[in-house]
Amino acid sequence: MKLRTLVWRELFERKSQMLTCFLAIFLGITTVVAIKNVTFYSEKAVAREMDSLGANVLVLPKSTTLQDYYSADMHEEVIPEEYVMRLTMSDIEGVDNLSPKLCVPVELRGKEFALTGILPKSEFQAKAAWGGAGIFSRPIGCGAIDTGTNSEPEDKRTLVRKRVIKDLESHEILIGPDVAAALDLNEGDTLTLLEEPFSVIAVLPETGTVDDSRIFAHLHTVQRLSGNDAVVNCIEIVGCCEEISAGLVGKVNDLLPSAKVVTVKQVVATQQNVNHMMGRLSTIFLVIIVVVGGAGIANYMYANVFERRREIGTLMALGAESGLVLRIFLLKALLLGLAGGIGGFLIGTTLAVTLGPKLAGVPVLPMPMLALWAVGISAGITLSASYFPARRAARLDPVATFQEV
Amino acid sequence: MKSRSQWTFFVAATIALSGLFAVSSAQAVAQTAQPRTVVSSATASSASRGMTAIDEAAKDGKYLFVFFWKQNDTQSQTMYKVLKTATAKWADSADLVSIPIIDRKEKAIIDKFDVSRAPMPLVLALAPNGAITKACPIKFDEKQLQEGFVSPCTAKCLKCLQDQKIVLLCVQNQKTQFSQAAWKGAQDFKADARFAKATEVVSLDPSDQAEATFLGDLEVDPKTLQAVTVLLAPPGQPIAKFAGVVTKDQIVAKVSAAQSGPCAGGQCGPGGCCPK
Repeated sequence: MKLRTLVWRELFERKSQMLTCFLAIFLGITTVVAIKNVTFYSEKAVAREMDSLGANVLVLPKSTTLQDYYSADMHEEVIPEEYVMRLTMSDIEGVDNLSPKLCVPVELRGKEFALTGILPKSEFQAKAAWGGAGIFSRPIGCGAIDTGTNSEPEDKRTLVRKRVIKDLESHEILIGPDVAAALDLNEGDTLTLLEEPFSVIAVLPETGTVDDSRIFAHLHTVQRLSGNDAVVNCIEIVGCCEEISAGLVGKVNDLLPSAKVVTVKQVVATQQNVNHMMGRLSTIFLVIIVVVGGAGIANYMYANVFERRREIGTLMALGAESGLVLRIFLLKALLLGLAGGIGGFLIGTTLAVTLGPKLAGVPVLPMPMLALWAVGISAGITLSASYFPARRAARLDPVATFQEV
Repeated sequence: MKSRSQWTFFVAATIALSGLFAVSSAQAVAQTAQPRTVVSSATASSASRGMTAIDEAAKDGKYLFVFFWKQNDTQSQTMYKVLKTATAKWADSADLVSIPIIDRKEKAIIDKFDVSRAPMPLVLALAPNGAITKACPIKFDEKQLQEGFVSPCTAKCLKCLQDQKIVLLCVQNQKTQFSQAAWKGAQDFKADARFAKATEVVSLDPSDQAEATFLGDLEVDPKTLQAVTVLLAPPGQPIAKFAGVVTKDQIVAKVSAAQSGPCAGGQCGPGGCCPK
């Protein structure tokens, strides 16, 4: 009888126990793969956010609690719009790129969207030159400029990246891709919002954030249509340099003592804490797999060897060497490990890709590297847990086993 | 039945009383003036007093402090006193005008500076050339107001920047080296069709004592041996400084880099560098 046949038969000798061991390994690997996959892409998204928004600062109402940078304006608290001009006219370095926002919910064709009022740069940036002679002592190399010599029209879609737009007419809107898809809208179409017609001037590229389901309009139009005074939910200061933004918080706090000033770093820290928690959770799961799965397999193997010592003895009496017996049990363990690892990777990846975007709010893609990791861990556990039972089987004395019969 | 003259008297008296009431509230923040003080009120003549004050101050070569206010509250009254006291000391060089932003007759000046949504009270210091040399919202002191007085060249540069123009400030005199080459580079840039309309070349003598503070802000040595050309971009940002010879291409490269990036210089970005 060939080794392969022996291993195969051995594998299915005690099906229920084999299935239990397989499930322990499989479920453990599935969970860890899913967590690791989601955590990786979540960390990547946070890093990307930090890279693009690292120097940004948010000015919010004092009572606001902040969970997510992109939805920082989605609350009912407001601050006066005049804060924008206070910031612009101040001699604080690094506040020349501002994005005040007011967010109101609107229902269109039975679906709810966020109508976000934004103030184009052209309406306040000129006041940055009101800082007087002090503006000339600003260091060369940092600060938003508007030379007025760029003949090319502004690409409105850069709003999602730059967070600031230069010009926006009172009845122009920019829509997120989710809005465009849900309402079947394209550039140049007209949309009636709060009983007034608006022209869609751009469909913004997908960001994977709440910005995808936003409708951006002029702040003063949104204020008028929603019955609000000159107020905003938040002011985003699009910082240029991290060092400047670090010092900016204190200065803006002094200028606007009744507002809450936070950096994107502080906001992202919350997300990073979640990621770290996920990382720790996956480590705990890994330990559980090693302990529970390993102990289960070791127990299964020991029981198997003990109960089948007569067959093992017969096999050895027929000429099978210790090495062959050892290989049979280790190959059986390896097969279990491979099956658990591959199955765990496939199902874990499927779960991460399908549920990840909903749970973590980030797009998740399969990670082939995790396949090697999953198979390695799974096979390692099964092999190490089976080694001692297999060695015991290989060391059985055929005579002694026959005496027991 | 009342006679026509009685009706006329009644209407005139009503108008006069309401006018007096409106004026009294305006006068609470605009009392007697030693410098020429223009008080705008709801009953003022049809022309914008604010715009008139700007024209007169410019004609007299004086600075003008425009005090915008919304409510006759304690803050407005206190700040007006501070401004009034300060401008009284500078009567020879500055005028003062008080503008209630609710006054529809002052729409021209309110629109000109787009201050309808600005924090109030707000003081704007205007140089004789029309440049806004300082904005002081809500709370300020005499020292801050005094910062509104700037050197002629500073006012000239500010005016250009506020008109959305790039400024090429040529710091040079007959003693500095490469003056002609630097001047030619600046003029060549201004002659370029892409930048002609939005560029102004301003010259500054480094030995001019009146401009010492301005040069200090720009970190240009008044005793410089070489001509220095400073490139300033709207709304108010120095983006390059060239010592000695400068060519049009060098200036164009700096402007293009500044336009391409989110920040001046084009090399600074989120999570990126900081000014060196």
